[in-house]
Amino acid sequence: MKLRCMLGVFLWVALVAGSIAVASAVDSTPGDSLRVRIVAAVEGATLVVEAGDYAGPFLISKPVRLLGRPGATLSGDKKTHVVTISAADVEIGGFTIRGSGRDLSKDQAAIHTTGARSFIHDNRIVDSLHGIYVRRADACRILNNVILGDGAVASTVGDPLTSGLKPGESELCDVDSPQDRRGNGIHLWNSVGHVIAGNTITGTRDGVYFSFTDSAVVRDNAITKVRYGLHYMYSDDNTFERNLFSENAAGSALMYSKGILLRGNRFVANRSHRAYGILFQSVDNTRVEENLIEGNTLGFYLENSNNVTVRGNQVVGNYIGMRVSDSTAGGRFSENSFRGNIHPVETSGANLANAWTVDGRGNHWEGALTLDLDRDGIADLPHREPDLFGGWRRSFPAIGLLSASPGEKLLRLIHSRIALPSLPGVTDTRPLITARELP
Amino acid sequence: MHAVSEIPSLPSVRGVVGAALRREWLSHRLNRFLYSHVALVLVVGALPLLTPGDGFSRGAAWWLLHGVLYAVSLSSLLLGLSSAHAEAEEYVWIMGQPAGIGPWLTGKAAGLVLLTGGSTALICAPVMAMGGGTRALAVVTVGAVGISAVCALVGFALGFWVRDGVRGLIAVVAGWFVMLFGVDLLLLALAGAPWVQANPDVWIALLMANPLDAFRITVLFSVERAAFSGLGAGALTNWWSANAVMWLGVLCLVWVMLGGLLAWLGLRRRTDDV
Amino acid sequence: MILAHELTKSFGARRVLRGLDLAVEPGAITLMVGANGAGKTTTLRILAGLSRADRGTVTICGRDLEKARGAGLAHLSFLPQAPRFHPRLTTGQTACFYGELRGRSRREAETALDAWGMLEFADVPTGKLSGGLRQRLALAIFALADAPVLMLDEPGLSLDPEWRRSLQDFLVSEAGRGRTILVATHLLGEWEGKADRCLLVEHGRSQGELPPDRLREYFPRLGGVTEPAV
Repeated sequence: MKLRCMLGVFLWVALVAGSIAVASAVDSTPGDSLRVRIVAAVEGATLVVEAGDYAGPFLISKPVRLLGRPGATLSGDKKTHVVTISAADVEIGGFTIRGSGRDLSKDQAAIHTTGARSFIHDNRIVDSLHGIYVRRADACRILNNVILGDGAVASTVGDPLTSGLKPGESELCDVDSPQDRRGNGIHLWNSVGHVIAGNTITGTRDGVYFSFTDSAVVRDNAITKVRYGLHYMYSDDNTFERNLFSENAAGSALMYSKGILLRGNRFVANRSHRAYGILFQSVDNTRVEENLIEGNTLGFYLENSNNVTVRGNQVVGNYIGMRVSDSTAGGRFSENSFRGNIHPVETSGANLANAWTVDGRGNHWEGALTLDLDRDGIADLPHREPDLFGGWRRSFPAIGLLSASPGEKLLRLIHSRIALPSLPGVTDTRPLITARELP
Repeated sequence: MHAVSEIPSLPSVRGVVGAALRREWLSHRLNRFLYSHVALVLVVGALPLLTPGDGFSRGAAWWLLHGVLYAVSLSSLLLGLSSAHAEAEEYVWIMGQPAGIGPWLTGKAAGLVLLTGGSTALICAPVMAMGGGTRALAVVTVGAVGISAVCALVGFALGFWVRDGVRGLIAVVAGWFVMLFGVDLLLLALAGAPWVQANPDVWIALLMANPLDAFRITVLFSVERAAFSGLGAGALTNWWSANAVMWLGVLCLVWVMLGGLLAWLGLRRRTDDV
Repeated sequence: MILAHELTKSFGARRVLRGLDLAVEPGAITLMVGANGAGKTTTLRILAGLSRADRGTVTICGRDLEKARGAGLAHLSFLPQAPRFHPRLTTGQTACFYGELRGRSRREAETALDAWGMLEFADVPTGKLSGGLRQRLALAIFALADAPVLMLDEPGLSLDPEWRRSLQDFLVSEAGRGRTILVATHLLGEWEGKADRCLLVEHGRSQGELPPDRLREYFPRLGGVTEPAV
């Protein structure tokens, strides 16, 4: 009797288990299949994913290559990351990825990696909090992805100089307002040695977020219609080349860092009333070369930054071309071209701690009265660029309404011929006759 | 001819206004100031074409702003002065007419405004001819017409207060300097005063009242949409930035009426000199 | 009819009129004579509404100029001394304009120009007219108003004798039609025997009348122009 009972129980369990197994095989989704394939793959394997919608989330915990055919979509459950990479040397490319969770305090992202040398390329990321989140993972390559945020930037943006750049929620979990409840395009934290190239980011909160991330190369990316195109703090020795930062609400802000190279980038049309083409706050030993800074509220602002070389940039059509605070020292400004700015340079004093002529070459100032009798391409007389409004812009912002007014221009003209006493501004002893073209 | 017993009827105001307007047109057909003004307007209008490539269309507002501020405004002032002085020898006839000076002055001022404004409207012709017509160009052109009309009426009023030709010219140039540079420099000087800093709206209201500044602000911050860091300067600034075109229209209208009133007062004041 | 009562007028410290009274009847030519500075032109300008008396009243055909200026001036045509016009406009344009201000048609303007021999100069800018032609244009405009009261300030100065005679004939004819005519003049000789009355103004006051047929006798007293009689 006891044996029969035991046999009965065994048969029932077997029957139920078999039924479940059969049922599971019949109801298996593409996402389940993909998860099974990922789990079953050997290290270094290449998994090609055909077109179709694959329900996530997915965890990649071994070094594999996950390559999507055109039309392959990875959909998250809107509760966590869509793809989590926890192993080094993972490659993921060719997918449309959507539907991450929206919890900022958990850094939820379309792709969240903690694996070194992650290679993330050719993906299209939509409907997610962060696009690609790199956390304590070095030497990642993030190439040719398209990351689309939820929409246009909010119109109200705090001035980073007064409110400061806020760290990411991985460091502090405070969220100020609903408009901050969007994630970043690419979020890099506490890592080194990345290559970020050819990505297109639009409509996210910030475009590329750097915090404690060093020695990265950021090249040929286009970042538009976000809050900060570049949100950058505590990160050293990074290189930015040929990127486009355009139509962002607050422009690009770099703070508390050193050893940066900005070359051949375009910072254009960042036009809200608190927007900067580039903002440097406490940025040292940095080179800014051959960039186009055009159509911004404030083209380039250097605050409390030391030994910054600013050479060969085109500063064009900004409301204020360049603002150099007196707390900035050791700056070397040469071969830049100032054209069509309503106020080319704003200073808060005589700005004597910075050089506006380097190796015998100054800058090109459009509209300056120049004389070049020896035809060496360098004006024979110094150029004085006054800032009539000076510090009044902050204590009395309405003074800006006199911008480009005939009265202001008249004083500027007089000052260029006869140095008016007590007027803040800069003096370029060797101004260039012609503008240097960008390569 | 009337029989002596008949009581002469007064001419209608509309008839006098129309006669004065037609006469102004006839007068300006031979006025070298008008032809100089038209030539100047066309030159200013052609300035955007100096921009290489197809950029002339986008940069037109900037060029036209400066052309209007530094050239067309003065030309319009001179046109107004010349209009006021054209009939200086004839006031004794005109003022003895039963209709009085009001309707005549109204018709004359209307003719002047139409002629000056109409000729200034040609400022958009070169860019339009090259296919560069945009909404911004239309707004700048309308603004230029308004500024031109205002300056013409200011010159007109000055002409009735200063009868002598040379003194009239000096007065017009001085007035132009005040409108173009003087107000800005005064406001710049006042900007540092603690009372002004505590009451910025008063300072802004002064700026708003100057038509040349209002035109500049309209073109820079409303048409060109130049990024402006002073938008946090207060409610009045924000209102102005949002309604710059409307404000410019109202201001031009007020200034035109003010110019007409000042001209009337000037003519009345000098009755005994006629 | 023109009535002026107790007119006073000063220019700064200089008192030009000192309580002048005046009554000019219709149907007659009344001269107003006096030495230079006596106040003739000032009186005429006040009567024509071009200047305002400090005190006193003026009525034109019963209309007080202060209270009903438009109606008063509608009854009046005034020919100023040495008239000038907008130099760029033609004779025809000028006459038509003043015709319009009086509600007259273009045809009436042309008729008036023709009457004063100016139709052939209709297309000539007034700036190019001689003094005499300009005076005739002024007379054409003056006549075009067709007003019951006519006032003329030194009307014959620029005219040649033939047109001065025409002017006198015109005024005699208009007086015959019942118009009120007041002429301020220095040319006493040529008006002798032509005017009906002659008012003497001296030191800003009316000083009675002179006999209109013996005006030459008063040349020295009036500082008159020794113009030969027409």
